[in-house]
Formats: sequence, structure tokens, C-alpha cells
Amino acid sequence: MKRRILWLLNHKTLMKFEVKLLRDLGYEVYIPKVVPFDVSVGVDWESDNLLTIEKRDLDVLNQFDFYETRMTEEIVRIINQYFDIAMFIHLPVIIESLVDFFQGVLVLRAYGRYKITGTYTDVILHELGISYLCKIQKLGKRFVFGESYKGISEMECDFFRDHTQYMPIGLPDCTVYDRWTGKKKKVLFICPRISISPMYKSIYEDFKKNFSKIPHSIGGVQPIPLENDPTILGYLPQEEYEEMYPSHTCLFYESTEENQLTYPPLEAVRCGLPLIFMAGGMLDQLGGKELIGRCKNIKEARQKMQRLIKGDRVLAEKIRESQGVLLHKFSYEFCQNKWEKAMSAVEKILQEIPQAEEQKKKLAVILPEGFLGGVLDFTVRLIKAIKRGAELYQDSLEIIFGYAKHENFKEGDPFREIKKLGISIREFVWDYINSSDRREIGKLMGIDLSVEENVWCVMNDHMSYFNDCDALLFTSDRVPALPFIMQPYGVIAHDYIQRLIPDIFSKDTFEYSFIQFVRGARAVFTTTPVTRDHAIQYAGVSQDRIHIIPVLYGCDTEMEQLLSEQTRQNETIEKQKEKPYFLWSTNITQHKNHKVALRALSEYYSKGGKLKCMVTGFSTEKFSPKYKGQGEEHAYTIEIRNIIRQDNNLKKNMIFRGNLPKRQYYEVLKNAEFFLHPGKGDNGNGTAFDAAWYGVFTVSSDYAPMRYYNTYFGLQMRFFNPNDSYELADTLLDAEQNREDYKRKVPSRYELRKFMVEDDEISKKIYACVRHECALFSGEKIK
Amino acid sequence: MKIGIYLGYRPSTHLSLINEGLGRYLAKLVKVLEESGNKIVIACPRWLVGALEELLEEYNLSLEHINLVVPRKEPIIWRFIVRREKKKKKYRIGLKIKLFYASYDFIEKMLTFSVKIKSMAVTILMLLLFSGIGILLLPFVLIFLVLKGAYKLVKLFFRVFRIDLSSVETMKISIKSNLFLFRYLEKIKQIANGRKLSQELAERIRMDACRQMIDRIKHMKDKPDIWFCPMAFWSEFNEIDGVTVTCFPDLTPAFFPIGFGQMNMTSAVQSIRKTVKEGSYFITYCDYQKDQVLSNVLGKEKRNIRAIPLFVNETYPDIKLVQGYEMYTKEDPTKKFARQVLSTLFVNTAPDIALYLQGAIRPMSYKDIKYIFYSSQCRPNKNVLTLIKAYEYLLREKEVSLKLILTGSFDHIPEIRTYVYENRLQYDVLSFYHVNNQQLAALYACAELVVNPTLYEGGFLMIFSEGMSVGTPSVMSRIPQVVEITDQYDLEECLFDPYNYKDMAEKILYGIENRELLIEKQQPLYNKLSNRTKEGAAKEYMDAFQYFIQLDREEKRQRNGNER
Repeated sequence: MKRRILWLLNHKTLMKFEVKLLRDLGYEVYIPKVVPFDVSVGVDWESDNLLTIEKRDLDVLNQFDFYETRMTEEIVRIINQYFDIAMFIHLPVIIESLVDFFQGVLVLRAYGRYKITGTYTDVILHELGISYLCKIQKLGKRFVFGESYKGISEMECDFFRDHTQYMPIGLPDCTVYDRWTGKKKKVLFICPRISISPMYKSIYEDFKKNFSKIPHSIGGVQPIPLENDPTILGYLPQEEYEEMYPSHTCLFYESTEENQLTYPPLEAVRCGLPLIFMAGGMLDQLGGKELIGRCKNIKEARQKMQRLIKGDRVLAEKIRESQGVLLHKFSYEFCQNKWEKAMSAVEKILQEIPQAEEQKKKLAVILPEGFLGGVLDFTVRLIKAIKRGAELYQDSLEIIFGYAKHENFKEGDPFREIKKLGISIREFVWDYINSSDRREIGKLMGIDLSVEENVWCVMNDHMSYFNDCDALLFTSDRVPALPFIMQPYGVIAHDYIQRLIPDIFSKDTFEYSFIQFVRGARAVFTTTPVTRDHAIQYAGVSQDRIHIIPVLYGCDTEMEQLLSEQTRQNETIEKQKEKPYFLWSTNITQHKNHKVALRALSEYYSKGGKLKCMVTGFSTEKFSPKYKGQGEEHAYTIEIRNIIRQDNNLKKNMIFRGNLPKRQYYEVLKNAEFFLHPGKGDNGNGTAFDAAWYGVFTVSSDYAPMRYYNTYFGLQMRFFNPNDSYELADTLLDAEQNREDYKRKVPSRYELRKFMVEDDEISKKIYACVRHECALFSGEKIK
Repeated sequence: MKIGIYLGYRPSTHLSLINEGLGRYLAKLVKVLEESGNKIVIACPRWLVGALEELLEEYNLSLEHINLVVPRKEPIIWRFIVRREKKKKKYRIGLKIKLFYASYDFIEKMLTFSVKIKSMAVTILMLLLFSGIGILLLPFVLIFLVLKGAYKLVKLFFRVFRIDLSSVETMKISIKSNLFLFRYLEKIKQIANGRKLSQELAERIRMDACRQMIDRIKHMKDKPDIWFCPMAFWSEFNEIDGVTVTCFPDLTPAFFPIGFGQMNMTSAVQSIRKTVKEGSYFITYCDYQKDQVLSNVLGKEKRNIRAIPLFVNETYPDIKLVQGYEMYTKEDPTKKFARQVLSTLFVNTAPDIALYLQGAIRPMSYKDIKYIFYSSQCRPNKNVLTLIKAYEYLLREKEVSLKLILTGSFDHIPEIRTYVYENRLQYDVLSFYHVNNQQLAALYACAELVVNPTLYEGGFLMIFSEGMSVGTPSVMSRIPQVVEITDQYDLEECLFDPYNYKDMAEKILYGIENRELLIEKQQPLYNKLSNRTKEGAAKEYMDAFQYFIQLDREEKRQRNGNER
């Protein structure tokens, strides 16, 4: 059977040569139909007729934009099903997807880079990060650096150099058709895209500086026309375009780039136009060193041009005579031979690839900070979901749980639920390295990592720094410095409260590492559209990297125990023991909106509100008027305590329980008349779900995430404006009066159960997203 | 008609007109007048010629067709200053880097060499040779060090005694022991009324050149029919022998005296007042400036003033991709390109913000950033802080997740910076300054909405057409200068009370939510503004000039009649 090649280049001129050559060598070549954002692109619909790909799959491929979209699961399946080799341009989005998912041989086509644009290694390093260079190295022989000119790979990292094949660039037609007339008496200089590329602009300015006195025309496509320079030819109709080369006196090629060549000098040689070029560039290596048109400096170039313009036929003929040699290495015959050799090497690699071996992957779910509350709960549930999801997908995935060593984890057994799942737990400490350490690490890997001074952090697990894992998934963006991570990773972004409630961070804190951390992630996951929006607009993550996953809830063991011990009827009996109250679960940070809430409570009691207010949550005992200050305290805590102290209504009616153990907390919640959530600016408060689970309704601030939860779960919350204490007071009075009504509207457990992590559909959804976006396994598995 | 244009710019070594609003206006004016068959004479100081050339070139004009009236010679002191500036720019960086590399190279070679020596005799010989050279060179090194020390001392001396009167406060430290000198300086400061000596010098050089220009104009053979001055700062313009018309844009600082009070604008305003007082004929950009300011406040006669709206400024040509991207069908290539241009903006902002935008791991993704945009300097009448408050209200109370992008530097009004940082808005309220035309066009093109909160302007807002030329609609302040233009169009919902940030916020929200509708409604006004053909605009000016010439003739006749 013919081997198939996925040819992700779409270059007009290359297509005519390279695709033809590959076909002659016996390959079937697919060319995408959606082109990249560039000027010299082309498509070839005819080529589809030569393919033996199923029509349905071909249609999918033809509609897919490889150049701007990361590959979907469907595309991954198709390319793995049909293609053995992928030849591709160095666009980050393509490299990323292919490295992550493609199971054949990856041939990066290198046509040479300009000095100022850096090497191919640099591109991958800057655009995709060190993790992708590591991942490419792990591909081993399956990765081929296909250089178009000998020696391009010399500038690259060790791995590229060791995996280079010479696949020369050629011209569709190398015959010289002498059409030269030179009647225009002008030098032709090709400089495209002057107004849109700073590099070409400076080339243009240099040319103008050096040769403005010599009559000249400037060719090349100008997407933005330059009206103030009459020497620029701009758009030419086909006939004039064809005459452009032959009608000029000579072509000047200025480039002294050693690794880069453009078509114009070759084009000139083909039509017999004398070529004047600067020494030191790529042309020297192609046999240009002895040519008459070669100039060592600007002065020499100027002199030669002037002589030609004045009609020095002898010089012109001398130049023309010898320059044909440049075309030799671009001829079909020359290239075919080299390509045959290169492709047979690729063929050998293909035969070595083990067939359909089951992949085994290791994913580390990591808690980067000492979180005990919501984030830890979330982490536990996420691990449960991924574990169950992997089982459903029948993937052989090993999950490990890593956590940063922290005071908070010393007492109790915070990870017992994870242990119960049989997941291995790994403690690590954040270590810090500076840029010179980082450079040394790079050198050991054969990569040049020279960047400006910074402090980087690494996860020291006293073993391999998590290097044994294929992917990492962080359940928070809170990292202590710029992370130096060797694998692609995912991050859960919970909220960007600081954007809305500035007081939560001090005014000049720059959460540099958090922001860079999410920007560098392969995938960012959020649970609400609001946080996704903030991640795009504030953290600057590109939209296609962010994914909304289902909000995760689950009944943990305590909840289940309570459930089995008491039925719902018993609960009401229990409740009557205490005076009726509503629950306000909060903490001591500003975004919980205490001031508005306290004003509203005071108003509520002065208007005759009867329900007590029970306050629970981390450190909230510090708000109690009876609290005797111990040690250093935050000014905000003192301020809130004073407000309560000075208000009799509040003092009399508020009960402060502090941070309760889970079991007690659920009991308090279960017995509450309703649950109050006056906070704002965060990603919403999950307790509303727990409350509903116990048949308790929620009175909540009206802001986007809570509205989202309300519709998503159908919770029937009572909303109020979080900035209006009067409205909250009225809402409280209303909730008190009509509480029986509102309680009846709370969704049943049966309805809520389908949102829980124990539900296979939820696990599947979450796992599907993590599986593909963290690039764990390639292709679709179950529908 | 032969039209004279008078430019009396102050000397500066890095003068550029290209990126100035007034430069653009001037170029367009010259262009339309020339293309309508008028002869143009420009009188300007010698230091402006380069900048003028550059400007006109940008607009496809060359100085060949324009007569220049330039003073014959410049003061020696000015040439001296220019030479010094040029020297400052040239060397330093290159030399230092070269030296660094050279020494690095040298050390490397020495290392290679040191390994090669394997004979003790050679080593001893080498050591002797080197120490010999060392001893010979020693005196020279010493002399060099002494000279360098002396040079540094002299430099230090000059630095201490360079009298910069505006910074007397900082000098207090260095001279606190010398009370006499300090008191003396305080006194000079009072006399100089806060002016810098360098500015005084510049003004003197300028006046000298202008006197020469006026003198040359007097002795011109073929005199222009009329002289036009596009700015009102240069009162000597009225001394020109002939009919003189001054363009009077506005007198904004006089209407915001407290805000502008700290911005060193007094002398400018005084010059404008003087120019107006002594001048006879005027052109303003709008009726409001004509009727309310020039006539009502400054007491000029209405019949001596004409209002001619500003030229429309189109930003589209700077980014529109007209060829080469025909194969790309995913979206409008121009929009795609504009987004790419946005990623170059990080160099045009403060270092902390540049770090936020770039970062060591991955830069901001500009692909999906949404923002509202206001392009303006930070000046007291521009009302930037109210816009920031409106934005903050939208972001934090109304849950609108956008950024606000400005182009003025916060340094001009420190309270803006303070507000932004105190409220931790610095990563959402971004300011890019010194942007080039393409960057500006890109900023307009990718904006959700242009917001113009200005309190006071010389004429209708250029920003409106700059935005609409790339398809971005505006919401604007309800001020007379705006209303007199938008009145005939149904645009009430695009206007807000600039003194009320909530109103502003609501209109912004309305604008974002009804962007398409706004474009539809603003298109007719934009079409009208942009369709004002070049000939049309030229004709307006020529009509006004004819009218003033006629008026002048009549007045002269009357005066002569009276005298008789």
C-alpha cells in the first residue's frame, strides 16, 4: 500500500516541486484546503483525486484549519488512521498538535531562518516552551529535522542536529529561458511587504539609503501600497509581471543571510537577467563564490550596477554566462536523488515504529498551595472524575497526586479520600533556581536557554522532579514563582477576584507568576464562563486554550453518613431544638462583602427580622465581638469586628461558630432556614449546591457565576444586588416570611444527583476534556 | 491665488511634524491648496525645513513646488547646540560593545596560547617581554588616569553649576551650605516666573529668525495675496505686510485654568491672546469657537471670522491589506493583521505593564482581547479620569469584562496614575504612547468602541472619523462642539453627559451591546465628513481667503475715505 503524507505547508511554489517529487517517489500527498495567513499560499483541489482517503474523512480534513486551530479528537483520529508521515511548517499550533498526537514520523521542514528571527529551536522554545522541546526529544527517531539547505541544522539544538535529513528545496523548472531585454535601464530589487513587516521595511530603507541615486524599481507584493514612492511597482497585471524580470537591467540581491534564500535571484537566473548580489550570503554556498555578479561591498555593487545601466554588454554577458551554476542544486535531478535517500531513512524509521502498542500514561494532579477548603475538595473530586473517566475510556492511565509541603497539611489526614481511591501521593517542596541554573539545565539537555534574569521554581519531590509523568494538571494557579516545568500542563483557574475586588491584593502586587503560569499552560480549565472571560481578558490566555468543565460536586463520605443516619423527616424535629437561624458561611477576605451584609443585617433586625444569623467559616471567630485579639491581626478583621461590636442588633442576633469540622458544618447547614451568600467577585459559592442537597434554599448576591450556577443546577435562589444593603434587608425579610414556599421549590436530590461527580456522564465529560487537552492519549476512543 | 503660510516653530534638535495632529492638518491643507492650482509660499525658520520635507514627503508632496522663505543664517549658538546634540547620539554604545567583544576575544586567544607554551625558557622570555612593555606603558597610563580624573572633575563642576531654575528644589541639597547662593537663586527664580533658561534662549533664537523672515517677506518681489498662520501662538505673524489670517483652534487652558495651571501653559495662552488681540482675520474649526470664544469672549467681530471644519483623518490606509491575501478566507485579513500589530505595542508602555503584556513564559494573547479605546493626550480638558471611573464601574459593578486602552502618558496628570494604581486597574487600563500610525490604526480597528469623554474641544472630534474609517463606532460627550455636528443626525443615544460617569458607562454599555446599530447610525455622518472632497475643502479655504481679501480692501478703502 502507498504511504500517505500529510503535507502542512500550502506554499504555492513549493507545492509545484515538492509534492510532485513526493508523488513520483510513490507517496500519496494530502494538501490542506484552508490556507495560513500569508501571501505566497496556494491550494490544489485537483490533488484530492489522487487520494485514497474515504470521502467523509476527506471532507472533514478539507474543512479543518490546521494553521490556526489545534487538532480536534476527530482530526487526530483521521490523521493517525490515514497518514504515516507529516511534513509541516514551523507554526506552533501545528507542532503542538502533531507532537502531542501524531503517531507517525514528524518531518519539520526547515527552509532557513533570518538571523533576527532566531532558530527553529528558538521558535519552539518561545512559542511553546521548554516542555515541547522535551516532548520532541521523547519522540526520538520519529522526529526528523528536514533541512532544505545543507547546514541549516548547525544552529539548532543538539537533538535537531542529530535527527537531520537533507531534503533540498527545488524549483519546478530549472531551465534557463533567456528572455532578457533590459530595456528599462533600471535595477530591479525585490522587497515585498514593506509596510507590514519591520524586517522588510529596514531592508527597504537600507536599499534606499545605499542606492537611491541608481535608477531602480522595487518589486514584490505590497499588501499595503506605499503611495509616496514611485519606484515601487506594487500590484502588476499578469503580463507586466511576467515582463518584470526580463525588462530590467539587472537584479540586486542584498541578503547576506547564511541560512536563508528567497526565490528572486533564482528567478532572475532563470530568465537570464544579470544578478548582482552581496557576498557572504547563502548564494556563496550554492556556487556563487566565483561569480562575476558577486560584490564584496556596497561600493562595488553600485559600480557594477552603474556599468550595466550604462550599457556595458561585456560585463552583462560575463555575469550571465556563469550564473547558471546557481540553479544546479535546485534541479529536479539533483534533488530527487537526495530526497530518495532521505525518504528511505524515513521509511526505515516507519518500519521500526512498534505497531499498536498500548500506551501507558502517567498524570500528576497537583495541588500547588496549602489549600484546605474548596480547592482541596475540588481536587479530590477532580481526581475521582478523572479516575472514573479513564476507567470508562479503558485508558491505561496512572494518576498520582502531588501536593506542595505546607503547614496546613500537617494535622489530621487531609488526603484520606485520595488514599481511599488507591492513588499514590507525592509530597514536594518548591525549590528555586535562577537563570544561570536554568541555563545549565538547558545545556545538559542540549538546548540553549539564554533569557533575562528571573527566579524560577521547580517541584522537588526528591526523586525526579515529576519528570516521570507525561502530563501535569494543577488544581490552582497559585505558584510561588515562574514555574520551570518540563511537561505540558493544564491548570484549573478558579477565579480572578483581584480584578474585581482590588483590596484582596495589595495595590502593587503583581501576580506575575500566576499569570505567566496560566498563559504557559497547554490548557486552562474553568467551571464558569465568567472566569473564562477573565482568563482571556485579564490573564491574557488565548480563547482556544480555555475550556469550561462541568462544575464538580460530590457527596463525600461525611455527607453520605449523615444521609444514612437521618431521614429528611427527622431533620425537622432536630431543628426545633435550636432557635431558627439562617447560615452565613464566609471567611475573612474582603470579597465576601461583609460591610454591605452587616449593614443589611442591622437593617433587617431593626425592621423586625426574627431569624438568628449563624456565621461559620475559616477564621470567622475573629469577627465575634467576644473575640480577644491574639497576635497580629489584619486591619480588615478588626474593622469588621468593631462594626459588630458597636451595633446591638448584630451583637444580639449573630452567632459565631468559626471553622467547623465538616460533619458539624453539614449539620448546621441542614438545620438552617436558608443559606446566605452575600459575597461577590469570585467564581461563585458551591455551598449553594450543598444547601440544596439538604433542601435548604439560598439567598445570594446577584452576580454572574451565581446566576450561572442557578441556571445550571436549577437551584431557584433568591437574588439581591450585592451593593445595596437595603435590598438585601428586604430580601432577608421576604425569605423569612416565605421560607416554606421557597424551600418547596428547591430541586430534589434525584435532580441534583446528575450533577455529581459520582455520575458517570459528568466524569466522562471531564475526563474527555482533560484527556485531549492535556494530550494524554490520541484520538477518539468511545463515543 | 498665491498663498503664504507662516510657521514660527521654536528651535528643537528633534523636531518632527509627522506624528503631530497639527502637522497632519498642515500637510493636508498644503496638499489640497496646491492641487487646486494655488501657489504656495512657506515662511519658516531653517531648523524646520528638514521636518517639513519629511512631512510633505509622507503626503506625496515635495518642496520643489513650494517657495520657501527662510532666514539666511542661524545664530552661532544654535549651530553649536545642534552639533553637540548630534555628537551625543553617535558613539558610546557601539564602542562599548566592540571593546567588550574585543577583550573577550583577547582573553580567549590568550587562553589558547597559554596552553601551547611548553618550554620554560619561552615562558621566562615572555614574562620579561610583557613586564618590559608594562613598565614602558606605565607613565602613559598614569597620565591618562590623571587626565581622566581632571575631566571628570570639570564635568562634575559643570553639573553642579548648570543653572536649571525649575529644579531649584532639588538643588537645595547640593547647595544648602551656601545660603547666600541659594537666596540669590530663589530670587532669580521669582523673576523668571518658573521659566527655564533654555526655553528663554529658544524663544530668543526663534524671535530672531522670525524677525528675519518677516523682513524677507517685506522685501519679496511677488508677494502672496494672503498670509495664513495655522497656529495662534506666534503673535509676530501680524507684523507681516499684507492680509493675515490666523487659524484659531481654541483657548482650552483658559477655560480649565486650575487643571492647566501646573502644566506650564501660561506663556502659550498669553501668546494666543496677544495674537488674537493684534490679529484681524481668523479661521476656526467650528461655530462654537467662532461665536462663543473668539467673538463673545475675546471680542472679535463675527464678520472677520470663518468656521471651517477640520479634515477627516482616515486611519484605514495604514492597515488595510489590499492585495496578497486573497486566498485567506477565514476572516477579514485587515482585522487579522491589525491584531498582529497589537502585539507590538508592549514597547510603547511603562516597564511594569510591558512585563505584564510580555512576560518570560508567554506574552498576552491579543487575539481575543476586547477593549474600548480613547486616543488622546492626557490633558485636563480630556476628562480621562472620568472615563476610567466609568470603565471601573462597568468592570466591577456591571460585570463587563473588557479592557480600556488609552494613548496618553499618565505622566502628564499624575493623579490619573495614582487613581489607576490605587484601584489596581493598571492591568486593565492600559496606556500606549508614541504609537505610530499603523499601531494607532490597529488600535482603532480592533476596538469594540471608541469612547470620547472630552469636556472641551476646538472642533468636532477627529477621533470619530478615525474610528469609523476602520469600522469602529463612537460614543461621545454631549458638548456644543459635538452637538453642532451631530444635531442633524439621529445620534442622541451615542452622546453622554461627560460630567456623569454613570451616564458615560451606560452609553458605553449600550454602544457595546448595539455596536452594529451604532455603525449603521453613524455611517451617514461619517460619509458626509469623509465625502467632503479635497476640492470642497480647498474651496472653503479659498472662499474664506477671497472673502478676507475683499473685506480687507473695503476696510482700507473706508479707512482711507475717513482720512480724507
